[in-house]
Amino acid sequence: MNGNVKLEGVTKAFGSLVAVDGIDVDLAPGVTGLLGPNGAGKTTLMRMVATVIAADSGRLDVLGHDPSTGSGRLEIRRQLGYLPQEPGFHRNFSAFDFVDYVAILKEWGDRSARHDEVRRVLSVVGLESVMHKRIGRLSGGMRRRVAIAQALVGTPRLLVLDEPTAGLDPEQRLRFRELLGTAADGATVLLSTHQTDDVAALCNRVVVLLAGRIRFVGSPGDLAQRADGRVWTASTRDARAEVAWVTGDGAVRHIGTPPADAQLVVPTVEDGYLLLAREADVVVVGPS
Amino acid sequence: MTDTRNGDAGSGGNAWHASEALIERFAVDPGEFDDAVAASLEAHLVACGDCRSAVRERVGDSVLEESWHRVATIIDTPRRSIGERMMIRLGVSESTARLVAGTPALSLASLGSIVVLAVLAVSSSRMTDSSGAFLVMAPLFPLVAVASAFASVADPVGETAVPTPLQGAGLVLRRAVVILAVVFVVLGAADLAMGDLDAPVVAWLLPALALPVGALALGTWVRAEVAATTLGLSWMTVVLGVRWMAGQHSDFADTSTFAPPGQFAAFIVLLSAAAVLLVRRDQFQVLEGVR
Repeated sequence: MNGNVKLEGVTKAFGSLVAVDGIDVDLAPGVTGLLGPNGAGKTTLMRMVATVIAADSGRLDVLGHDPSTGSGRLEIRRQLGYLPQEPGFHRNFSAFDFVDYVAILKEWGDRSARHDEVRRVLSVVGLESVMHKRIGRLSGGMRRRVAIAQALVGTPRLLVLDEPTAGLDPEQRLRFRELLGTAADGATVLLSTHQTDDVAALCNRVVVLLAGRIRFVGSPGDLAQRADGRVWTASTRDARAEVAWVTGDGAVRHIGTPPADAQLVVPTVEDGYLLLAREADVVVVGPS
Repeated sequence: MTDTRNGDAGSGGNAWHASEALIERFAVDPGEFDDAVAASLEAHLVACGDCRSAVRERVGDSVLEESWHRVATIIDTPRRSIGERMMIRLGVSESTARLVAGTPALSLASLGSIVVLAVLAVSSSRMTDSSGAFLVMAPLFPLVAVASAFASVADPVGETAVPTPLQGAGLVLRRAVVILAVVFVVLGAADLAMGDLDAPVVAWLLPALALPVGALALGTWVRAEVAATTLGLSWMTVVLGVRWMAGQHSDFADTSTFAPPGQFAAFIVLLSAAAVLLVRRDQFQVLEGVR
């Protein structure tokens, strides 16, 4: 294990519900995508890495520090950018106020330098023209960008982003991919998403979490490759397929054991993920 | 002050222009002019494109950039709340004042409701012609106020604030101290408004300190709302129980809760809670309610 974030046997339960169950993973610099259905434990895992909550058992090493100690947490937080799934927004804050407030919490005491940094990150996410508008008056996508901006304050070494592209329109998602490519230069980024095309476009590595356990670690190409020879299209639904759905062009895409005369197609990350979920007996409601 | 120059009128239709010497001096150091000259020249520059260009040619890029930066900093500075301005005047740093004042517990609405409740407490005491109602209610104000300063909704940026270096007992305690100071000023004023009913400060002061500090200590295990509710109910149980033991018609003010035995018990609770808080202060660094 030589990554920036290392987890060994990490477990977290809430009452009788085991959200994360004995996870071992090693995250190197670059972008790692966390895939999994709702309730798989993605947010719990990200919160533990981001020092928001503590693990019940197991060992975490984040940027060379132990998050279970006060001094370790402090050192991690000084190098961390965190985007929660549901960031809180004070209704009276402008986008500038919000990011400025978080920058203070990140120890940017000098006002002039802090304001420069706030303007920089708001500019990176393309919000310089609306930064003095109240957050309550911004669209959902703009609010998401404000939340992303605060995570970028200080150019952190570790970025933990819980569903960063949720609520962004296609153009904004493309822009996010671009900015993450820049922000991730040399940094370790852990992001969760339901968008498998985001994973394919953004991530060097993908981790699939199902029912609190890691079921796959590898490149997006490796994940797609798992479904190689097991994806085919046909004009009608084949009952033998494990998963089947109608695509935009009216054809039915199937995943499973193909019939002899099947018209095989090149698998995608989504195909690999759906097949994995099916093999693990986890119900994933349709493709994303 | 300004000289007429040859050439066309400025873009504003001026028939004169600032002299080159004047523009040169202005570009190098605008501060060397007295206010009247500077105001006159600036008014002219606003209207005259030619003179503006002449100044622009003589001012270095770094000076311009610095000027714009100063302007942007002034424009971007978030509007400060009354509480924030007061803290800064009292010597608190700008960034700390912003963090402390950010909690909704210090909003005008929250503070207003404390004032209203204090008025109700005083009115109740006056109607019953006894300080008992005030003594029973007073410790609950700081309890509720402090609990709301570290509850899950206490931070204006929610969960985003949790994994930041300044999150922790330091921030929670700073907010608690400021809120307690404000609440005690309100309670002190309310006590004075009691007039001849004579609610001795010492009678409510210790319980009013013990309950919020107790809530902070208990809040290292459970949610702030649960901690405050538990302690609030405990306080009411003790007060009513002691009164019941003393006889149904006893005045609250005359019961042992507000006499030396009760004060000693409150003091012990206060000390114990402070000790717990000291030992478990790291718990404020993680997400409240799910630790």
